[in-house]
Amino acid sequence: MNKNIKDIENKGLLKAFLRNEYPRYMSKDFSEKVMIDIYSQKTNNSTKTYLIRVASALVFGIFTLALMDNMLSEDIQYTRTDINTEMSAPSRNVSNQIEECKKVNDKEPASDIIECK
Amino acid sequence: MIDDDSEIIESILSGDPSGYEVIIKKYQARIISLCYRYTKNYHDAEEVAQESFLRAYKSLGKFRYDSKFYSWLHRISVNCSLNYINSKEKLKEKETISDNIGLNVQEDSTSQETPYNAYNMEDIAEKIGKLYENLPDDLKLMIKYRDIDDMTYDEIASKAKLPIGTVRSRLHRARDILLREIETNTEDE
Repeated sequence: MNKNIKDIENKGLLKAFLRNEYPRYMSKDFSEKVMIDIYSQKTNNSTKTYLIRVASALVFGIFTLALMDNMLSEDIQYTRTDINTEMSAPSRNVSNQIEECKKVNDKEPASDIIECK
Repeated sequence: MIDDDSEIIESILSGDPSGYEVIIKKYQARIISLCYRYTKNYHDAEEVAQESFLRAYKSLGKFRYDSKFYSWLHRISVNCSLNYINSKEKLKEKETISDNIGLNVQEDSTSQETPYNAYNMEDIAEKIGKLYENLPDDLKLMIKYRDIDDMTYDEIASKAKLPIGTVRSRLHRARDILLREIETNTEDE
């Protein structure tokens, strides 16, 4: 053990003996046990932080990809709908028919029913 | 207030946890002794003391230097010991009579032989006590002022009407005698 640390330990023990503040027994490796706990918690914490960072990066990436994919597929649907609307436009021209009726009778129709020829 | 441990604490806070071992070694005996007053059991006292040191380490950033580090650590240890008592009482409420008998047996076993890998502190304390009593009065007084009454060198010098240099050298001589005894009793086998 480092001489300096041993000196500090012995001075601590001396103070404890002189003040009558000592336990009946004390593990020789008490400080080592505490330090092992501290180091293991430190490693656990840094591993946890690393995992959380990786997980958040993954979640962000997946979310962004899903969002982009969704936006692109929605664009294509809009285009298709527009084309379909044009295709289903009415093919019968009603106004031409009215013009034809007026030329034949040359007066206002008596009723809502138009008689053509 | 400037604490003796402030340098070590600063180094720990700046990312070097190894300095904390010095803190533990310095105060372990007194903290285990404090916890023993609550737990009345050698094994549990060490566990609670361990928890106290861990909690202090985690909260080290909150230490404000408005008191001595030991006073702060003392408060944490008292809280940990009280938590231990509360949890033990809750456990007792749930336990059957036969379990209680088991607990008593465990406490009795600690009062017999020195546990494996542990110092018998009473033995060492007895030797130190005798040595201290046999010290010359001028050296004994220095130890009393500094290590028992926690006086500063200035305070000792003015009280004993001695130059600080003399105070330091007498204290060094007295401690040397006592520390040598501790060293021989705590040497690694």
